[in-house]
Amino acid sequence: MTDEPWLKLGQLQPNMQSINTMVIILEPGQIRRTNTGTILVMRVADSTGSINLTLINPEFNETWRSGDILRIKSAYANLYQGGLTLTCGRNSECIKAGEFFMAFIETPFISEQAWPNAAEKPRPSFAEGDGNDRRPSMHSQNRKPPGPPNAPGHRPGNFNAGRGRYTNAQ
Amino acid sequence: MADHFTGRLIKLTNMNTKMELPSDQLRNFINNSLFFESKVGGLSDKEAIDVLIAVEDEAKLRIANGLIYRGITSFDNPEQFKKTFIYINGVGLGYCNAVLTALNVVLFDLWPHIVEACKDQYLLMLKETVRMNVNKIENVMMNAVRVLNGTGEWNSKVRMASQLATLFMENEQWLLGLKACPGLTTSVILVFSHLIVDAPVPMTQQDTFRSALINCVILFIKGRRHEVIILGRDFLLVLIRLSRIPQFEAIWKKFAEDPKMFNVTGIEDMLLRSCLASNTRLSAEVQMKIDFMLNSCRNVAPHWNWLTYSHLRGPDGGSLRAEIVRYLIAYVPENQMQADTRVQLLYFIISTAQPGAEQQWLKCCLWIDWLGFDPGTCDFKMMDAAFGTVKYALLMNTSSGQVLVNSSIGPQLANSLLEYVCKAATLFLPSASESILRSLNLAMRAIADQYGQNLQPILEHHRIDRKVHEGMREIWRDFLRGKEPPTSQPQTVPGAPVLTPPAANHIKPAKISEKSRSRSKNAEEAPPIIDLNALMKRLKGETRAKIEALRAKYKKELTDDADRSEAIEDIIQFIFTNDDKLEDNEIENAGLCLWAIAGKITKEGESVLPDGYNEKGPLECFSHPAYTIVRNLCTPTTPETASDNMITMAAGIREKDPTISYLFLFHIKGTVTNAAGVRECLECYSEVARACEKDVSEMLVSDLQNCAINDVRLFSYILPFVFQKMIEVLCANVDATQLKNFIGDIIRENIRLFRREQFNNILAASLEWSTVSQWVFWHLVHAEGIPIEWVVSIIPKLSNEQHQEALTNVLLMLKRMDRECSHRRSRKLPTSRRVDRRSDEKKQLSENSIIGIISKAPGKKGVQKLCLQQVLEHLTLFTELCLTRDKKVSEMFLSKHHMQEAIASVKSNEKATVLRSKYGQLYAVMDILSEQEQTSSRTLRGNRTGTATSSPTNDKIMKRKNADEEETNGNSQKKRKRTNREIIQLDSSDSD
Repeated sequence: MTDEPWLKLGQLQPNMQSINTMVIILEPGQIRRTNTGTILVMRVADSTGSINLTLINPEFNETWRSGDILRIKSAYANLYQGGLTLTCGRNSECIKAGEFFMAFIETPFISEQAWPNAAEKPRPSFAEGDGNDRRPSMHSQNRKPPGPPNAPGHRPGNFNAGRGRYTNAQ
Repeated sequence: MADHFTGRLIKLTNMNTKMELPSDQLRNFINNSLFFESKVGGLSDKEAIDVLIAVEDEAKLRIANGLIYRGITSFDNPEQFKKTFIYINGVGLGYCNAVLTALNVVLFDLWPHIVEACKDQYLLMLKETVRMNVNKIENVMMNAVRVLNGTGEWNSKVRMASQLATLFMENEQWLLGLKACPGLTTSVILVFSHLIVDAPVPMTQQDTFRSALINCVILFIKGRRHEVIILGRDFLLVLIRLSRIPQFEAIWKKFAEDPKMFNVTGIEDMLLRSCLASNTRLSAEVQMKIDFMLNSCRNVAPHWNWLTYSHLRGPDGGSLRAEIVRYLIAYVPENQMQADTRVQLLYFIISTAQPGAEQQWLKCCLWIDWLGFDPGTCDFKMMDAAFGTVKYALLMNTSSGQVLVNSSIGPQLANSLLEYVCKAATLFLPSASESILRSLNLAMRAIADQYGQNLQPILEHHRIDRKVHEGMREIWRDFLRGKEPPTSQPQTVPGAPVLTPPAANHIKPAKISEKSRSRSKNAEEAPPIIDLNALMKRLKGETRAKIEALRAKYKKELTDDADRSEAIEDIIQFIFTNDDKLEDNEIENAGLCLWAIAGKITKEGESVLPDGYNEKGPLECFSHPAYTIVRNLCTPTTPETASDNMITMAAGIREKDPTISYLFLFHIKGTVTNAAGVRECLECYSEVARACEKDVSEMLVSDLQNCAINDVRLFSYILPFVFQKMIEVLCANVDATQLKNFIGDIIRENIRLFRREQFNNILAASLEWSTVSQWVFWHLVHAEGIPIEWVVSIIPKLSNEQHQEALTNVLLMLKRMDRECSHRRSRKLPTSRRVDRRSDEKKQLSENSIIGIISKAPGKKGVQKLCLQQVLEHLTLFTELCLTRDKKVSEMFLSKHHMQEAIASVKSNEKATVLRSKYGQLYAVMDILSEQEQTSSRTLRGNRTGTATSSPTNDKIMKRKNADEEETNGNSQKKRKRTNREIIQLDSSDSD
C-alpha cells in the first residue's frame, strides 16, 4: 500500500504525475496492437466521475471485467485530443483490488470535457518520444474531437490522418 | 515470507497474484495459517497440542484459522488432514467457538475465491465435525446451504448440494436429535426446493441428484415440522412450486387435512404469517452485494448488471431472482434512499426476467404479502415494496437514466402487476378469497394512510388500462371512485356554471393551489373545479364587461345556439383585436369564462357523436356554442397573434377541462376536409400540447384515454383518424435506424400497425404524401405482410403519372403472388371477382394499371415474378366470371382500345404461340368484342352521317378525317406493337 492519499478522478489535471487512485471499471475495452506494442483503453469511474484509462503494453493475462476495482499507482494524466486521459505507463502499477463494492458516478465523463488550453496546446510529437510513456489513447479515435471546429487544434477531414507511426495497425 | 505467502495463496485460490491483490480477509487468513505453522512447525503432535492449549485467548481465532487452512488445503496429503483433526480433538472445547467462527469465515469471505478441491475438503471437514458432534455445527451447515443460493457455478453448486444432501441423509438421527435448528431447516427447505425445480429431469437411474434433494427436503419438512412455521407464507410458496412432485403433493393434502401438524389452524393461517427467515435465504456474498446497492447506490443499473452477470446466469437464475425479491420485500429500509433503491431493484428484477412462468412467479412472490396481510404482524414497509414497484413502473420516465430497461415497458409492467393481484384475489386460494380480499384492502388502507392525497393519482393513473382499472375497482372499492359521478360538487353561486371534471374520469377533485403545480400535472392528475365568479373577478376592463354582459343575457335573451355562438365569437374577436392590452393570464381566464358560460358539450352517458352520423352528414353536431372556441382554433385567423392567443386560451381551458382537446380532434375530423387544412389544425394541436408542457404523443394518449372513458362512440370514431395521422407523422419523420427497429418489431410481431378496416383509408391518404413518406409507408406494409387483397381496391384510383410510388409497390406485391391463379377460385373473393365487383360499383379499373401490368409483365426468369401467363390466366378467369352481366362493364373494359392492342400484340408474338393455344378462349372473346366494337362504331358513324351531315363536302371531309385518323392510328399501332414486342420477351417458363 502507498502512503500517498488516493486521488479522486475529479481532482485530476493535465500533466499531473504520480497519481495514486482507486477506480472501478465500467467498460473493460480490448487490447489493441500498435506499431510499437499494445494498448488497452478502459473507461473507469469513481465517486467523482469517469475517465478513459490507458494501459501501455498490458500483459495478456491482465484481463479485467466490468465491476472490477483497480488500484492504480504512479499513473499520470495527459491530454489526448483535447480530453483528459489517465495513463498507466512503464513505471505505473495497476492491480485488481476487489470488485463490485464501490459507489461511483458515470458523469461527468472527464475525457469528454474540453480543457481550456487544449485547443491552444500544440499536438505533441510522438515520433521521437521517450518510450511508451507518452503515447496517446487510441480509444478516442471514433469520437468527435472536442473543441470548436475552427480551433487551431482541430483537424478536419479524416480523423485518423496524420497519426504517423501510432496509427492503429489493425 | 512473501514466497510462503504467495505459495499458500496459490494453493488456496486461483488468483493471479500479478494482477490481483488478495482481499484483507484472505490475507489475514493466510497470515494466520503462517502464524499457526510457526507455532506447531517441527513439533510432535503432543507438543503441538500443548503449545496450542497454552495460546492466549486472543490468538485462538488465528490458530483456528490456521487449523482450517491446513484442513482444507490437505487435499493432496491425507495424513495432514488427519493431523488437523487430531489437533482439533486435542485442543478441546476451548477452541470450539474459534473453530466454528473460522469455518464461517471461509464461507462468508473466502468461498468465491477458493478452488474446488479446497471446497470438497471443506465439506469433508464438515462431515467429520458432524460425526464428532461438535456443538453448534448446525449453524455452519446452515451457512453452507446458504452459499448455494447465489455463489459459484451451477456444476459446483450441484456437487456441493449433492454432498450436503448426502450428509444430511447419512446423519438423519443427528439431525432429528438436534434441539433447535430453525435456520438450518428453513435454509434447506428454501434452497433445496428451488434447486429441485431448476435441476434438469434425470435422464438415467444413476442421476440421483434430484431425488436426493427431494428426500432431504421431505426429511426436514416431516422431521422438523415444528420449525416450518417460521417460513410462514413462504412455505406455501415452496409447496406451490413443488406441488407437481408426488411427495410434495402428498404433503399439500396432509396439510389441507391436518394443518395442526405444522402448528397452524389452516392454510389461511399460514398465509397470514410472515417469513422470519429472510436474512438467511441468500448467500452471504449476494446479500452483501444487495445491501451495498441499497445503502450506497443511487443508480443501481450497472451494479445490477454485474450482479446478474455474476450470479443469475445459471439455470437457477429465475429462482434466485425470486429469492432476492423475497429478501428485498422483507428488507426494512431505514431512509427514503434505501426505499427508492429497493423499488428500483425490484423493478429491474421483474422487468428483466424471462417473460412467462419466471415473471409470473416473481409477481406471485411480490404480491403474496398483500394476499396475507395482517396489520398485527406485517410491517407497512413490506406492503410498500409491491406498491412502490407499481408506482415506479407507472411514473418512470426516460430521464431517470435507466438504460437497463426500456421505459416503455414500465406502464406495461405496472398493468400486468396490477392485473396479477386482481386475478390472484379470487384465484390464488378460492376457498379463502374473502380473507384475501380483506387482506388486500387492509394493505391498501396501510398504503393510503402513508400516501395520503398522493394515492389517488397513482391508482387512477391514465396509463392503467381500463380493464385493469375495472378489476382494481372490484377489489379496492373504497379507494377508487366508481362509475357514478361525484356525489356533491361545491358550487359557490347557485346557478353559476361550474366546470367539473368528466365524471367517468374517476379523478377526485382536490384543492390544489394554482401556482404550486405545473399545468400539465394539474390537467393530468386532478383538474380542479372552477368558480366562474372567481374567474370573472380576475378579468379587467372591457373584457370583463363584455363577458359579464354575455353571461347575463346568455340564457335569457339568447335562446338559439347560433346567436350564442355569434356572441361568443364577438368576444373572441374582441380579444384578438385587443390582445396587446391583455396578459396571457387574462386571455386564459377569458377563455375559461367563455368555455364555462357556453356549458359542457359532453354529457353524462350521452355521446357527442349523434346517431347515424357520418362524415358527409350535416354539421349539426358542431352547433354547440362551445365549439366556437374550438372552431377558432382550427380556422386560420387574420391577425398573426390570433393563433397564439387561441393556443393560450385552449391550453388554459385544457388545464381545467381536458375534454377540449379531444373535442378539438373530433372537430378537425368532422369539419376540415382538405389535407392541408388538417395538417395546419394538427400543428395547432401540437402547439396546444407544447403550451400544456406536454409531448404531442403524451397529450394524444391522454386525450384518447379520456375520450375512451367518457365517450366510447366518439373514441371509436376519432381513433382511426388519429391513427392515420400518426402513421403519416411516423412515415414523414422516421429515420433509418428507427425504421429498422420498427420493422424489426413488426417482424417479431410485437407491433401490428394495420387493420383491414382502416387500411384502405390510410392507403388512400398515403397517395398524397411525399415520396419519402410513401417509401417508408410501403416498407411498413411489406414488413407486415399485407396481402394483395387489401390493396386491390386502390388500383382503380392509381394514376401512372401521379402515383408511381404506390404503383411500383403494387406491382411488387403482384410479382410476389403465385403464378397460377386457379387455386384462388376456391377462395371467397378471387382477384378477378374483386375487379368485377369494383366494376359493378362504377369504379372502373384504370387502364394504366392493367396495361402497365401486361406491358411490364415479362422479365427475367423466376418462378415468383409476374409474367404474361399469369396476366392471361387472370384475364381468362375474369372473362369466365364477369362477362354476360347486365351492366356490360366487363365487356366495356375488355373492348378498350389498349386492351385489344395488348392482346393483339401477344397474339402476334411468335414466342407466345403456346399461350395462344392455351388461352384460346380469351383470344376468342377478345376477337368477338373487337368485331362488336367495330360494328357498333361503323353503325354509329353511319347514323351520325345520316342525321348530322348530308352534304358531299362534309362526307369528303369526314372520309379524309377518318383516313387521317386511321393513318395516325396505324402508325401509333405499329409503334405500340413495336414497343410491346420489345417489352414482351417471353422466357421459357412463360411459354411452357
